[in-house]
Amino acid sequence: MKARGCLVAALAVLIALAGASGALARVGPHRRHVEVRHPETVGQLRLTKVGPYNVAINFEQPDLAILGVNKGNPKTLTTDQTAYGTHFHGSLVGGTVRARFGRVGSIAVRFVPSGKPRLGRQEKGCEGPPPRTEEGSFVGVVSLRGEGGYFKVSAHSATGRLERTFRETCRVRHVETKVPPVSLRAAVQATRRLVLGSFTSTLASVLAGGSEGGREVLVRAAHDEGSPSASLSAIAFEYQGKMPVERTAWLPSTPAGTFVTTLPGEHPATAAVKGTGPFTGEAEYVGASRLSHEWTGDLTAHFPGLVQPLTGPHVYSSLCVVSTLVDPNGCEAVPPDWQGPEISPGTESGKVQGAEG
Amino acid sequence: MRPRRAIYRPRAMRARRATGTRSEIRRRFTLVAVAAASALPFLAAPASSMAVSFSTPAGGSTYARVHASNGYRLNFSENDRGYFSVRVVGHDTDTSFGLRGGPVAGGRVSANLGKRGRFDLRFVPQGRVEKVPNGGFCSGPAGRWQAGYLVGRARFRAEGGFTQVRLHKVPAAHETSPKLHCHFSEASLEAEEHKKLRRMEVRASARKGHTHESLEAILFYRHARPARRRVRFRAFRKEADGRIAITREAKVEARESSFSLTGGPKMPEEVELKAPAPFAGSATFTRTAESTFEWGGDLSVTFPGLAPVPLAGPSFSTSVCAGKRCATKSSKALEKLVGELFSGPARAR
Repeated sequence: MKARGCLVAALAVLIALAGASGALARVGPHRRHVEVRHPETVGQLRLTKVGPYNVAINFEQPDLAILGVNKGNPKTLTTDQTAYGTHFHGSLVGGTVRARFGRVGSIAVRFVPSGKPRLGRQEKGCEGPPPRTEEGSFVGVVSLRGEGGYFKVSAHSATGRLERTFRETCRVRHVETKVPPVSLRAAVQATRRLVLGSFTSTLASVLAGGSEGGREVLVRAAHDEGSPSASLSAIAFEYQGKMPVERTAWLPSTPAGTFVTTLPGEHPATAAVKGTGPFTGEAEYVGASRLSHEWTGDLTAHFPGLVQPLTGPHVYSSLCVVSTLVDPNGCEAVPPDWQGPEISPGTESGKVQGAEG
Repeated sequence: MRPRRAIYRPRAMRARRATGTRSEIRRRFTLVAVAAASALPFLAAPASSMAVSFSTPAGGSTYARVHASNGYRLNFSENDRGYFSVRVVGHDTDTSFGLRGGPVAGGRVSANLGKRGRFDLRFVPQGRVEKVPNGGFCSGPAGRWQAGYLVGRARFRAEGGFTQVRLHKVPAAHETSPKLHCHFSEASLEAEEHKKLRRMEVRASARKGHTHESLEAILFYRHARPARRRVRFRAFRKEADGRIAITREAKVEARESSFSLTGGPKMPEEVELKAPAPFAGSATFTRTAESTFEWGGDLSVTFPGLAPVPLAGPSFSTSVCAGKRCATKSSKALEKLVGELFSGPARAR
């Protein structure tokens, strides 16, 4: 049942990430403080399906435009995605946006609403105009082409939506701590924690990561508590000029035999990962000791627009196999044992730190 | 509401009962604890405390206890809602047969158990009605207890004839209790066996149609129990035979060697169980290279009158716990359901 819980939680997180609405404070029964919330506008431009890919651009104030190209199966939650981030010009409030996505292309569009705006529900204890959702279309020029032409779209119109909240004063129990504006890199890496994380304790996981030629790569195979199969995910991050690009391949459930490890306490500790879905080849971890282990093989991730080997001299690795009866928090409580530079899957620190080893 | 336990007291005991002796209070506690256990799922107790408050409805029951063949004891009762129950106790086992009995009429005990027999007895009171104290956990007016005899005809033969009895007249009692308000604290509920005394627990259960089988094995700490009683094994089986609900239980205690931790200190979830009779064979809980768990072996239990019932295999969902930490294996059916949720039914695993 835990796995089912994971599924529900994953869906909830995905919905939360997909939603373009602003963060609103939850209002408790005792409203002792007055909080002023500033107006906010977010938008989404949706293009028709381009080959196997769904292409959409999310706009966030003040000037973030994230182009997402993804191929997913909502039933299996399998996701292959590439996100390109840039700063747009124009005014989202006014509905005029111009954005350049480097070599991928550019857009210059204006929002044309159709029909009446849909009024949202005013939160309890708040005063001010209710939130408003405007459906319509973005008209102008959309010209985008993925690396190697893995997707290509040229259009003069695309469906879209703007969601607006207005200045409001709310009586709340606790004043929300102010969240600093999201950086462009953080916006592009929004799904990283979901893809490289776990909803329950992890019984066994192998992490491998490294950096070469300005591109950072992370791969994780894991067995989560209560799940009958392994999850397999990989991320590649790079800057194309000033544009951050994050590619993700995520398989929450894999066929039997995808990820096998030795048992807790067994020496030498070994693990093997077999490619499936967007992954091909195999990789093997052999750990003679904490100070000596290796990650070899030809495991490769096929991201949208990029084929990336996940092994090699610049890729470091760490294996964790624990018993939840010994450590109830599982591998989450065990720091990775990189045999090289420290690599963190954190949102802002996905870079290789230090240079030892 | 489960039927009351049928306990017949000899005359010597009856003389002490009105004063609320320790055994009487314990018996009352047991009756109300059974009611509390039944009521627990329906009570919205605050998360911070396990204290439970509830009310028991007014009611009455007629009961008797007799010695049956092959060293078994037979307790039978019928409450004033017409629920009849006969319980066979002995040789580390406990088997109950329950059903809606015959028409309710002033302390009659009548039930047709089909091939297992028939009860058709009426209660004949003898002596004075006595008051029954409520014990320390419940408040309300005192109950009433009337000694007497059950007369008529009764015959009972359990499966395979492992025990049988024929009755025409048997000492019995009729007891009525008013509506009671009871309160249990966490301490009183766990007084007899605190969870902290348990070092490790294995629980396995499987359901097939209306049949539910389960195993519980508890390894106690050294300070909690002597070496020869360090491990407790209990097996349960619930089933329905037409309108008769049958529950069976086998309980034995064994030495620590019957519960071995085969995985070593880094993997204590790997265990092997070898229980003494009426159990046979052994079962192992093992971790695979894919960090899933398997529960296999030939462990079985022989309930009186039945063929050995397997207690290990893929159809069992199993958990091995040390305190609040558990390693869990779902049943194959549940794993299949979860697999289909993630991967669709067509996926071969």
